[in-house]
Amino acid sequence: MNDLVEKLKSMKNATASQYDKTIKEYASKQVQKELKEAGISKEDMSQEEYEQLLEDKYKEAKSFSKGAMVAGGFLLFLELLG
Amino acid sequence: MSQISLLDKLITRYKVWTIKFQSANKNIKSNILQDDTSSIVEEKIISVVISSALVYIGISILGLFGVYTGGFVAGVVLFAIGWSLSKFLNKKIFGTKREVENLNNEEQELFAHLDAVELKHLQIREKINTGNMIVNFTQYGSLKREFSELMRVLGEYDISNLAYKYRLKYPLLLLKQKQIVDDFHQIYANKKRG
Repeated sequence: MNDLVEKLKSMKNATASQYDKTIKEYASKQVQKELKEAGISKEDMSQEEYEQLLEDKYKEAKSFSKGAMVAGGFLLFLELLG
Repeated sequence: MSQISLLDKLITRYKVWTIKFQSANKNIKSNILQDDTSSIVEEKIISVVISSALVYIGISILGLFGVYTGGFVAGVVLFAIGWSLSKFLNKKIFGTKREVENLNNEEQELFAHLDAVELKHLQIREKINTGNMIVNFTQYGSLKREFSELMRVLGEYDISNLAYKYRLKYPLLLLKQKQIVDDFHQIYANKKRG
């Protein structure tokens, strides 16, 4: 998860959709990695199950990276205040 | 043939379940460690709101009594007071990130318990994947007891150790964990959700 945070932090002046795309790509890679570790191929699962895993991972990554997404702008300004 | 197909399906569901179980455990541990980066943003927003409100209210009250507030300077002073006050409130609401080494005995034991149960299931998954477990779903009794004990420990956890944000989140995570345990019963013993 830290690599995602670092990547988002480096995306200065990125739009919300660019951040979202990066998080979705990360979530997809993580799910594939976890499935591989668990010894499951995508074909073994129903599409619904797979999308549910993807959605959970996306929500988790988005929540975790909220801080990093604003690091480039708003947070920097507020840091100056205290 | 259909029984083999059902068994394969249950094994796949169990493997997917182990991923969800790992994730739920991680969320519980992260909550106890108060490790949520979104808190940084929330804290700053609350600080700005409190400081701005204090400036607005303070200057309004002073103006009501006909006191010259000094304009910009008074605003800056009130904002600074509000900012300091918000720091204190934020500590109560959001707390600070905790390290595993600094957790109390009860929390250390809870972490060890979560790790032990997770490891057990990862080992079962590994045995299934390597073909070392010929007959599956045979340990239900002992695994069920372990989950009962785990849920008891999680239920008895003293949330007063946590900041308010994490205290509020803990029951939700516990509910999620209970749903995951119910899923386990459903898969492992092929039971309907209770």
